[in-house]
Amino acid sequence: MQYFQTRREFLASSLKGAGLLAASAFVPAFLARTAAAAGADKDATVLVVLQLSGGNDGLNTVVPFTDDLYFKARPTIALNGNGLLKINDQIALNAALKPLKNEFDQGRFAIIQNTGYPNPNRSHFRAMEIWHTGVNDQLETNGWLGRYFDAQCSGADPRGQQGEIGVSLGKVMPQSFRNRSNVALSLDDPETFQWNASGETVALAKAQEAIFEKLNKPGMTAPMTPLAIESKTMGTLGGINGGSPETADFLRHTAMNAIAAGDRIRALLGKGKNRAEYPYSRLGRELSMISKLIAGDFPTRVYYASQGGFDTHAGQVGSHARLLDDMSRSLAAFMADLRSHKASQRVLVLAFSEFGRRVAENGSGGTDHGAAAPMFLFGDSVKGGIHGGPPDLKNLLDGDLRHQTDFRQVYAAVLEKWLKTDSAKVLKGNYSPVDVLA
Amino acid sequence: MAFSPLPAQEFDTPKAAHLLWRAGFGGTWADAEELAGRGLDGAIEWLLAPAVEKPGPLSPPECAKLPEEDEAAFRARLRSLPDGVRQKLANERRREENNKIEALKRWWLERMLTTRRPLEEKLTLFWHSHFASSFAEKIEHAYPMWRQNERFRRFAFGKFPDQLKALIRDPAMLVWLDNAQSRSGRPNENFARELMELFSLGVGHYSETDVKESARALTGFGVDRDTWKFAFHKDAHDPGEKVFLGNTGDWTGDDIVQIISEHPAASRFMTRKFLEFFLWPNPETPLVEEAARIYREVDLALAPFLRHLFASREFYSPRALAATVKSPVVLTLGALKSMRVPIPESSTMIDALRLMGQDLFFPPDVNGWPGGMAWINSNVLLIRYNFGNFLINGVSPDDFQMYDSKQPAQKQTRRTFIEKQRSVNWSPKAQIKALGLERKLNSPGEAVDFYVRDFLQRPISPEFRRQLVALLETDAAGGRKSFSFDDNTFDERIRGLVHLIMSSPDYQLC
Repeated sequence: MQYFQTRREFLASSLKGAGLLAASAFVPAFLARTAAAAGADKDATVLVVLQLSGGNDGLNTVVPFTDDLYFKARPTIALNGNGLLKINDQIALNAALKPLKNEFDQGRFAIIQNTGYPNPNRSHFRAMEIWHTGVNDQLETNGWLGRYFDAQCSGADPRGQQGEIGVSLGKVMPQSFRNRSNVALSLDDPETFQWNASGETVALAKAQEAIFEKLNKPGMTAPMTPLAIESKTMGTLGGINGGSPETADFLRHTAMNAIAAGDRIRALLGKGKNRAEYPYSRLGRELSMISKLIAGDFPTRVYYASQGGFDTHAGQVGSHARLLDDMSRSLAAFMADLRSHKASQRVLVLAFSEFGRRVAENGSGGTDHGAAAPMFLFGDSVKGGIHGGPPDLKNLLDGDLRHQTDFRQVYAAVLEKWLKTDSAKVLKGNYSPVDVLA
Repeated sequence: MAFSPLPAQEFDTPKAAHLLWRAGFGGTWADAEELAGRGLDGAIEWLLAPAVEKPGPLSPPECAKLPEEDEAAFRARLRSLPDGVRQKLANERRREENNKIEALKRWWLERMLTTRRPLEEKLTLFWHSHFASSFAEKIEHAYPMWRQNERFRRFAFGKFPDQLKALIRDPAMLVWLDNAQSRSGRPNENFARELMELFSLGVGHYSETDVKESARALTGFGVDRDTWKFAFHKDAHDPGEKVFLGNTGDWTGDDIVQIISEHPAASRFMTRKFLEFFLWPNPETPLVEEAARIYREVDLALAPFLRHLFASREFYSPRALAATVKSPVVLTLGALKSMRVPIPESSTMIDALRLMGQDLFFPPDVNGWPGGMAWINSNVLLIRYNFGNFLINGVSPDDFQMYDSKQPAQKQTRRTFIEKQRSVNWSPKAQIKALGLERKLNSPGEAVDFYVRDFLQRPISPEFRRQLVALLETDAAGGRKSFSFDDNTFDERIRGLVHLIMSSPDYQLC
């Protein structure tokens, strides 16, 4: 048996999809108990959200390949013929989506055309905020998935048995997950989810861990610097409050969540096996980790993965194809992997981007920020195929596509039908669910 | 709410320490005492207009030089080669530039750590995040990143319109946001949009038409890819009439940034960012209004604005103290300063910064690093807590090994295991001796107070202090032991102490 012990080795091995990890002997006891208590509901449905960051060019992904206006607007970057995957007389998929063609043909890949929202914003950051919060007309800081978490665990210990912790792959926490109860995890490398005592004997290490536990136990208010204190070496220091109690509590919760989940995640990623070959890419790695966690019944119902680079302002034909190729191969592998683990029936993937791109190309062989674009759903339970008509290139708004379906109608379908939650409460408004889930 | 001046006699060592964290990268208690000794005005002037050191060298460090062969010649040579060899050569070039940018990170970290002009470096870091460009994907050369870094340093304290005028001539920025390829007739909007949205006005203060019109004005602001120097391409520039933010004229880029900086939203947008960075999170609107008024009064020049802020009672108020989350750069450099050690030979710093989410020259996107609470999530918090351990051992977090007694590969004792991977010998004992302080550190309480003072410059709770004192009285077998400077386990105990101080929520804030 081989053990991988350092981050460097872990990363190398997990990219190959063969990570085997050692568990730490030094996880504080009270945290280990919390992790053990979180039981999984093996039949619960799971949502995987895939964010395509930067603004995916919908028109060159789901191509209106018989529309003259499309070719007129894009003299150098319009796609024609070459390998396009024809769906019907009006629509073809980008050739790079080939690995997903079988999913489409089997009715497990749904495309919802022309999604967006009123008064589209063309700033990456504001647009992303709107998609993450699900709110476009007022200030809202919590995410739509965060509000879902809050709705699930109101009154209960958020880290307890229900296992409603959202797990976001990657280095940062998406705003979608922001919530009142501070329950979400962001996961890049579970090897970092542990505190390493520095003591050179086991006894010293244990003494250090005991102090670390006290310092970082949620609910403790004592160890933060008090308001005023007499200090022999610094004189009397008045009015130094050492940060707000909320900040301290947030820090403690974050540390504890990571440590509590760390052992379990390391074990699942270590002994879990991927049964499909993922591309050697960040997205491939993230989806291969999610697959192991799902197959291992990790008690999480919402995962988040992302792929960057879709902001194709210049020379986009080649780079866009590479992005779609990575996305397609990663997703195809993910779904094959889940099928092989007999877990596919309980997983739904939702893919979105913050906006589509300008209908007309710019002078750099690329496209600037646009508006409406397609969303994608994958899974055994979706009603596959194309939903909604082709993009209307005659009737543009400031050179951009108008939306036909509000993206929150898709969120509503996912919340109502898949997560079995009252969507009006989570979305802060009534959106009629689109009919895309069986 | 308004800013009121702090009476000069109230400026003491803890306040100087607070100023040093916010306007620099922290330091020891002695550093704070030295700053306090200058008096409030003297300290601020020292930060704003340091008389020490000449400005940085204008020739690039070895790691930031352009390849000798210019881009055109290199591309021609690539084309002349057979497929397999061509790919190999291109990869080799990429590897060289990757190595250079890693060396440039170290070059900047060294500079931030050792400079006697800490505010200048802190502002360079601020501008690097505010006017964010990344080496990744489009630039991929160390030289323009170094040039941009020097540009930020040179204009660090300057006037906003001058800063914007320098920005629209910055080759790294022009390439990163595609303006170098923008042509009259079909302009590329990427740079024009971010110029207003993220660099100067904020969402809601301009229209889509303003984006399109300013993109026209900025056509022709390009880059000579052989020299990586700014080049104005007259043929690509659209000289026609533009209507921008209500002003009509045949505007060029310089006119655009002048109009932007005169817009009242610009002073509000920028001062909100300054207050977030230097004062406290989510500054309230009346305070931003007041700050914006002051900023306009000093003609949008940063030095006099900061003079005002650093001399204010608000800046030293309980609400401001320890109210910000340390950025990874501040967290790690502050630790080095408190430990009085140089940057380790290993890649400890650079790997740790990357893992903590602040990879220099690689901001995550054009919005820079969001900062504040966004520095904290489950991925990075324990890296931050463990950083003391990585540093003490001189080991990169990527190579750090967990000791696990259950593993067959690790039959060795914990002590052997830990000593084997220690590559830095940080000896607190030798250091204390060199400082002539050994007589002052003879009880566990004195040692705790000394290190808390050097690392935090603010007291900890009696309970936390009691725990740390008890730790210093714990022997290798877990029993109780007396503590004195002469103990041969002094170093071992102090290392554990320092790691715990750095593993506290308190240490994350400044």
